[in-house]
Amino acid sequence: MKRLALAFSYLLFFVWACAGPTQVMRTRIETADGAMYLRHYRNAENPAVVIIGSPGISSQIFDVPAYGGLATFLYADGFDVWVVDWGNLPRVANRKRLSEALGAAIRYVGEKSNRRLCVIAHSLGGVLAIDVSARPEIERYVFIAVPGRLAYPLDPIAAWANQPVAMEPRSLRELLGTEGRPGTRGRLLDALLWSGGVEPLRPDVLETFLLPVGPALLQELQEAIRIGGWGSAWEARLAALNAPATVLVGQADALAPPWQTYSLYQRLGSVQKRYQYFSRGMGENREYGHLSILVGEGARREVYPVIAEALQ
Amino acid sequence: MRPLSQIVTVALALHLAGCLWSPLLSRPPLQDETVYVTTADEWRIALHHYHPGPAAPPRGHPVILCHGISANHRMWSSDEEHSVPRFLARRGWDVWNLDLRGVGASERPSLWGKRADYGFDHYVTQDARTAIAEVLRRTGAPRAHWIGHSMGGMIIYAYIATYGDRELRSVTTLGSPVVMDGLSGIVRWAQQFAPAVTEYIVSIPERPFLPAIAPAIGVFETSIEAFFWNPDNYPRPFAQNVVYAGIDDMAAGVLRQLAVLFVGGRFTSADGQIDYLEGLRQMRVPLLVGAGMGDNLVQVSNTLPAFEKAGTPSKRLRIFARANGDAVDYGHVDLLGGLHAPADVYPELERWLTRHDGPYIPENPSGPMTHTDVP
Repeated sequence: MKRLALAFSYLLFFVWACAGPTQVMRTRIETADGAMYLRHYRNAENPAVVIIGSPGISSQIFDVPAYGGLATFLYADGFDVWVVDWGNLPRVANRKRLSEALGAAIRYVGEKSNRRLCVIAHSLGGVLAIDVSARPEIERYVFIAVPGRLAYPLDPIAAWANQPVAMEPRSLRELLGTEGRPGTRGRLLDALLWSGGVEPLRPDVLETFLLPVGPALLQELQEAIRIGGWGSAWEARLAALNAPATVLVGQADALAPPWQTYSLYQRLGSVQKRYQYFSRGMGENREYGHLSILVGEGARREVYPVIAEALQ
Repeated sequence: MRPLSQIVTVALALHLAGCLWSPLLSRPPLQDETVYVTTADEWRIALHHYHPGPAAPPRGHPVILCHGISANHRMWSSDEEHSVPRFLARRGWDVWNLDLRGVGASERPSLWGKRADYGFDHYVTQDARTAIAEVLRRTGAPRAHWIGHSMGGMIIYAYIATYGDRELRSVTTLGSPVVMDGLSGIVRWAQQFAPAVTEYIVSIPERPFLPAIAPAIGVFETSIEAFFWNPDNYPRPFAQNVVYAGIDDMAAGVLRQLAVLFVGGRFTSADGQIDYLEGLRQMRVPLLVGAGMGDNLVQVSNTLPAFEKAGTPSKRLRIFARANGDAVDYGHVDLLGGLHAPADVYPELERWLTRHDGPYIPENPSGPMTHTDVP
């Protein structure tokens, strides 16, 4: 009986794997601090899209349809999709090193695809994408929950920015796990990352997504929050960016709230640019937070089509 | 003529239906008395007075509440327990809840009487100025606290830019914009639409029809309602009450001035002579800027320039959000009478008033505002 159950589960897994993209290739890119990876959903001759997530959030969220699966969605829509997997870099690298690694990855994709690229960047991934925005391969951007200036952070973020950083890598879950009043940890993480919408927070799912980030990057994040921005060089690159851009944010995003994302939109140098926020008041079925704008059935139905349209 | 007669028929039917339902929806007034005062341009405006609770400690300065556009004094209260003026009055504050001209119990324009040919500036130079003077006269206080919601906060910003803040002890604004960008298509459409339409009408009547609509509010959760308030924080009875009693007519001139201002990107007087936003640099009294994280109508970013420009050294930005420990992400209307407002918003207001209720001593004695009032 046990063998039968095991065989059946293998069969189910095989069927699930077959239901996914038929061509997914994984490329390793060596950097000074270790390896990062690119997962490629190959659709030759179709527009190429690079998805850049935050170093602190697993890139799995772009692959697995059960969690939404932006990469699989766009692949099914005919795009040639490349997903950046940061590997272990966030544990050891600082922002400059991560930017350099990302630049190498984009250069690789540009050479392999032999055409210009669209970039979809989420959260800190968007900040790093702007660090390398001078790359000629990129013809279009979609920024999702990417803060421009970091003015007026919400209380937990402001409080964290003034705390000493541990010498060991920490995930966001661990950073916030000891914060707040007793019994509120789940609620705080929910408020910061998810939203107050219909889909309830599942701690086990959340913990899968959140990855450890090293002290070098954490200290830079704290400094950025304290000074209210990513630096004058970054602002200059933002102002010089002239590719068409779409800026999206969830109204309930407490990590990169709408006023911070809107400041990104205001300072973008692009002539063709668009800003859109998602909320029930705007006709969506739920509120969207920092993570839930990319993950879950709601995002798949209401946000992904907007992203696909922005890539056209 | 046929379409016009159809429109008139529908309007009459709505009005009659509203009259039938009104007894079910009407609520007794919450204020203790209503006083009237006449502005310099001969408009009679109402101030609804909430007496301080007898058991509460006496306070130093009275509080004036001012509602926003297309609203009246009832917007501040969903019921006896979810009522900003009643909450403050119980704790000893002498509260005066203003009805701007044309709404609530204040004098209304009519076909045979005064016309609604006023704009936003009249609220500043006439209604607010008269109300402040009247409250100070009646109470004997040297200054008053001002709490404004939405346009009610814009009015006090414009007032300070025009007259200074010498009659004010502190200012609190809730969901009050000074720019209107980054907004939904609905608001952008209204900005484009308003100047053209308001050329041909003087008033946008809402009161005759709202009683008919009110019972339907909350039956189906629509994005229209979610646009104005957080449905999780505004149960159906509250929503029905605010639609029935708290929303009111809108003068076309007011809408036109605001639409023109915001399309142009500058918050100024109608003649462009006074920059209301820049004028906040002269502000010296304490300022609390409140905003709802879930406010779709007035985004937090629309309230920030006032906070940044205000020259007062004592100012605070308070965003009502779940991540900040509040029960919900507050929307535009539920900041005032929402289900959780008595726990999240009202204590914040009271703390601010209490902290800044002693005799006013300017923090920069060498600055232009050098009044020191000692009762």
